[in-house]
Amino acid sequence: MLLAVYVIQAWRSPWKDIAVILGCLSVVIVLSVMKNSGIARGLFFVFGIFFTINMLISGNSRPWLILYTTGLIVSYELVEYSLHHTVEVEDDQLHRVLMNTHARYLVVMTGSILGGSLGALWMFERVSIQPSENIYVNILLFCTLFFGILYALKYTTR
Amino acid sequence: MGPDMYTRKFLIVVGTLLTVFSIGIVFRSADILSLCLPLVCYFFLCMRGENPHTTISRNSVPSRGMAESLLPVSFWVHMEKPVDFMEVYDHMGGREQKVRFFLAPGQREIRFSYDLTLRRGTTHIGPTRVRQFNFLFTQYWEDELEENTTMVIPRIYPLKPLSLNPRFTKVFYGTLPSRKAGMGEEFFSLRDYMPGDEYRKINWKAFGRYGSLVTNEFEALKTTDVICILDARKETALGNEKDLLDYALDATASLSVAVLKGGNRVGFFAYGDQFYYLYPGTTRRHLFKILSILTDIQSGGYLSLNYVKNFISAFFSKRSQLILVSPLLDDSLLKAVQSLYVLGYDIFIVSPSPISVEWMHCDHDDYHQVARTILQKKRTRLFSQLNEYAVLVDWNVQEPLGKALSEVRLYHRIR
Repeated sequence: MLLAVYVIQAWRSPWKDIAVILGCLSVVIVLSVMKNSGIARGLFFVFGIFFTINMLISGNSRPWLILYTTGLIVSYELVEYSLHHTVEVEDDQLHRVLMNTHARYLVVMTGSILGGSLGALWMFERVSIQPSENIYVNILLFCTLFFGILYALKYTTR
Repeated sequence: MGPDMYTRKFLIVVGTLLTVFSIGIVFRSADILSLCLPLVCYFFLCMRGENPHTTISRNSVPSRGMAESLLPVSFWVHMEKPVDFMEVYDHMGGREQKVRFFLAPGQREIRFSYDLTLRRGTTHIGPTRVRQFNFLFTQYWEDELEENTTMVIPRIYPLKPLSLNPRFTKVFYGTLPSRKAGMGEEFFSLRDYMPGDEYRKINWKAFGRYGSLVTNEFEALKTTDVICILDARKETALGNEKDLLDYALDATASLSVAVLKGGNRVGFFAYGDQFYYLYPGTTRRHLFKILSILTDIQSGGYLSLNYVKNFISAFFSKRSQLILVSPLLDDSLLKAVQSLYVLGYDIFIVSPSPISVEWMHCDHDDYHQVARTILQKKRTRLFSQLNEYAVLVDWNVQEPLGKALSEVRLYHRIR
C-alpha cells in the first residue's frame, strides 16, 4: 500500500517516466515478495533511490523528504518481515504474540525515526552550529561528535 | 561466547548513509543532508542489540553404538539476554540441518531433540552452530558447540550357539562335539568297565547282553579355533543405503560373538583392497578389536580368496574352523575352498545373497524375474559344487540371520 502511495506521489511530479518506472518496480517487488524471493530487497533499494531522486528534484520540503525516507525504511522492514514470514511457528498463540511484538517494534521504530529526524531538523533549522569557517573542519567535528554519541550509546546504555 | 557481528544489511545502511552524506556535502545541499537524519536514526536502531551470552549443551552421547539403532540426541540453548531471531545449524550423521525461528519475547531457553539412526562407521554428532539476530537483522552473535563422535559397530544379531562340527578340536572343554570320548551329553560308544567308573555310566542292558560290565562313553564337547574370514571386495558395494558389505559385516560380527560365547578362540581375516588379520583370542578386548576393524572396513579391491589363502594358511594353524562370509562372487572361490579343505581347514560359508540385495532395489517386472531366476540357478550350481567341501548357509538378507543358520544341515558328511 505504501508503494502505491509512493507511485501516486511520483505521478504528481512533472516527470511521468520515473512514475512509470516506479510503478513497474513496485509490481515486480510485490510479486517477488509473494514468491518469497530475496530479489525483492535489491529491487526495493533501486525503488528507494529512484523515488528519493524524484522527490529531491521535485522540490519537496525537508519534513516531507524525511517523512518519505522514513516511509521507505518502514516499507523495507515490512518487505523483509514478509520474506521472513515463512518461518514456521509452533502454534497460533505464539504466532499472535510474535505478530503483536513485531507490530510494536515497527511502531516504536517509525516513531523513533520520525521523532528523532524531525526533532533534529527543527534544531538544525533554528540553531546554526558552525564551529569553524572551514567546512571540512566542521565535517570532522561533526563526525567526531557522531561517533562519540555512537560509542556512548553502544557501551553505556547496556 | 561469540563476538558481535554485523550483517550485510548493516553495511548497506552505513554505506547508504555515508553516500548520501557525501553527496550532500559535495553539492552543499541541505535537502540531501536532511535525508541523512532518518538514516542516522535508523542506524542507531540498527546498533541496538545485546550479546545474549549463549550457552549450548548437548546430552551425553555414548562412545559406542550399534548400527541401525536409534540414538536419542538432545541439545538446548540457553540465553542470558533474550534475542528476537535464531538460526540453528546442526550437523548430524554427515548432513546439515538448518532451523530458523522467531523467539517469543523473554524466551531464554530452547530445547531440541531428535532420534538419529546410526550407520556403521564413525558418526559425528555436531558441531552445532547457533546464530542469533537482533530485531532488525543487522547484528548477530554466533556460538558453536563442538562435535561428539560415536563409533558405530555393525549390527549384532542374537544367535543361538553355532552348530559347528569341526574335524579337529582343542583339548579344552567347550560346546563343540569333538568326535572323541569325554565329558559330554551325547552317547558316543561303549567300553569295558574299569575300576573307578561311575555306576550311573554303567550300561545295564549291555551287561545283560554280554555278561560283563560295560560303561557308556559320551562325546566330549571341546573348543576349537574359529577364523572368521570376510570378503570385502569391490563387488560387495552393492545396494543403496545398506549395501552387501554391511550385511556381511553384520554376519561376521554376530558369528564372532556367537563363537566367543561358546568358549572358542576367534581369529579374524578380511580381504579386499588389502587384508586385515587378528590372531585367535578369547577375550572381550579381542572382540572389540575385531569390531573395531569391522567398523572401519570399506569395500574395495580385487584380492581373491585363491590369492589370500596362502596368507590364511600362514597366519592360522591348520585344523582350524574357517567361517567364510562372502557373497561368492569371486570366480576363483571354488578352487580356493578346495585348497583350504585340502590343507586341513573345516569350512563353513555364510553367504549373504547378492540376488536378494539387488532384488530389494530393482523393479519386479518380467525381465528382472527372468534375470533373477538365471542368477539363482548359477548360484545353486556353485553351491552344489562347494557343498562337497564346506557347510553352506545361503542367507536371504530380508530374513533374520538366525533363521538361515538354523536351517543348516550339518550332518551332510563332507568328503
